[in-house]
Amino acid sequence: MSALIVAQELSRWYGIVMGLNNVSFHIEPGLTGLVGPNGAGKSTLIQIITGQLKPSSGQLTVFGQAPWNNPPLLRRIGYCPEGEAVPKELRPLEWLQGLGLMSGLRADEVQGRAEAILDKVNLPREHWGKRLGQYSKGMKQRVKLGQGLLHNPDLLVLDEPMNGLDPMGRQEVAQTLKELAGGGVSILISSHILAELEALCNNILVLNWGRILASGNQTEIRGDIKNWSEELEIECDAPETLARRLFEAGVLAGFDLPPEEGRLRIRVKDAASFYEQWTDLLLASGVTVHALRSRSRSLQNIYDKVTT
Amino acid sequence: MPLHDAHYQHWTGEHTSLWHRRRVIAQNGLSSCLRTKALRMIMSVCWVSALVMAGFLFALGQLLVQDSMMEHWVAQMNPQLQSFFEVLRSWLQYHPEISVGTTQNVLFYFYCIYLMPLSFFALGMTLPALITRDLASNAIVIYSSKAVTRFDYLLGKFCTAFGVLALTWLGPVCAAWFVGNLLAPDWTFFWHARIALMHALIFGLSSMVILSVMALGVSAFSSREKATPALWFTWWALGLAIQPIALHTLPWLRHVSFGYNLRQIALATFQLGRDLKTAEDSIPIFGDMLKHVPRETRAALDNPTLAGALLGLALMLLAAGLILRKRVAPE
Repeated sequence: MSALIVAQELSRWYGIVMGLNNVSFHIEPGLTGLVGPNGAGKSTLIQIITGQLKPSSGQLTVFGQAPWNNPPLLRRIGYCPEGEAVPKELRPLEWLQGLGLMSGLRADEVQGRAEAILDKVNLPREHWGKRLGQYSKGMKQRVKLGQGLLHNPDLLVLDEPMNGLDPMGRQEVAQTLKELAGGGVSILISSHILAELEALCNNILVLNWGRILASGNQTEIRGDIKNWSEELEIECDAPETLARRLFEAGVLAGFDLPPEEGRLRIRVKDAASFYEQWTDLLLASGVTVHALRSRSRSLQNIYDKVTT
Repeated sequence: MPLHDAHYQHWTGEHTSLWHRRRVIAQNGLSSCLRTKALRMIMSVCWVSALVMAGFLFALGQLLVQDSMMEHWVAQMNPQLQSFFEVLRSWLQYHPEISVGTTQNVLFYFYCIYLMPLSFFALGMTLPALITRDLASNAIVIYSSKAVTRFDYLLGKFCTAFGVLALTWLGPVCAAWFVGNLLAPDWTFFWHARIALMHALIFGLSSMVILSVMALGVSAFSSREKATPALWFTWWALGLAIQPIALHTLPWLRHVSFGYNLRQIALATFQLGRDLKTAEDSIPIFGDMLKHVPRETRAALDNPTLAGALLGLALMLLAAGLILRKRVAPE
């Protein structure tokens, strides 16, 4: 599968401040999460990808072309920026129609598309007659997402798209994004809500201080992190017995017996070797296990590991 | 339509051209401007004045026809004026370029100058709808992520400002010229009045280009909706206030006023001094009337300060360009 976005020794300065510092990476088609604290360079990277900023040095290509000053390429990219970014005096339909025409859609089909998109982002029809300035943050967010989808982009870039949405709205947007990805749209999504990114994206790109700290799918990244120890929480009827048995087998790096009854937290030395022996060790211990959960597979955990 | 049932399909149709997309930006901007009630009112005043001007040209045409109702009416009102028009009528036979051409050139100079402040006002009212609101809402980021560059965006906005000026300035001027000459007693009036139209077009179009760029600069100066019109009107008022003071102290300071600079260009374009001289030499009664015009005024009409005006406007355009580069041009 050829890479969708390729960056080579890409840098961007703002005066003496470094937005991106000589980064090289590639992003495959599909859903990709962009993770990093404030000031990490996420917005700079997004702005370069969407043709808003020119790289200071190095190069970045999307679908094999540089986005800077390249309207034919921008026609294939949808962008939903952070913040409100909607004109208060316009109604959603007229704004989307204008944007559709600006994107090169024909006048005879733009109204139908604008209506379909507003339905798709679940903006209730009774609000279509209001001006955007009267909308709640969540409604504006939906319209903003709609404008990004209006011209059927091949790549959708979303900067904090869940901001301002209620839990139901977040779920709906997440579902829409999954469907779009399933339909062949590549999506790059930046969010500080890591749990949501984790559920949505298999591939991630971790940025900090303008540098790429990790990129690829979550499993690969975990495999690349040195001293990564798998943490598991086990619910069972005899935690002490199970802990002793696992410790004696030499597969544990450590364990805790939390105050909650019937729970055991373990850190394993080598995840592959542990899972190979796990069934035999469990049978030998005679302990009944009710649940087994990984505590270290979260995106937050990866993020913590690579940024510290 | 139930949620999440729309199947995604990549766009396969033909895209419209870049010029079409630029037109969309201009058109959307113009319709946004026309939502301003004050602009609609100014437009009405401008177009009503065009009707008045056309009516005036009709009346003037009638005066050049022997035994017309207008002639009898003027004769009853003022016998001196009657002799003035008799001279003009005789000139119509032998020198129509003076009786029609020169008269309309002078009239259209004054009409352009009359419409100028109305256009300044109209432009001031539409400044927020040009760039200010897009900067305030940050919607400019979304526009530039579409299949247009920031240059295309600026070009579209330029056309919006140009469109506003066309509706309040050049449109009424051209309409008045056309209707006025259409109602003239003779089709040859169109031909004899062509120079007046040409001067109006040269002055109008060049002024509109300059004003549109300046308006874009002021509109991009701030992202607060009230700040940009305030800046525009303050600049205009300051220019008006400075002119009489600067006339006797620092004459070059008058070029701070964009209105003054444009008037100098108008004088140079319409060559009003030359026209007055022609009228003075050809029609003795007119020459007597012009004797009462102060010498300073005549000198100002004969020798407009074109170089200073062009330099002043060039500096204003440069400032507007720098603001646009700083605030709107992509990094």
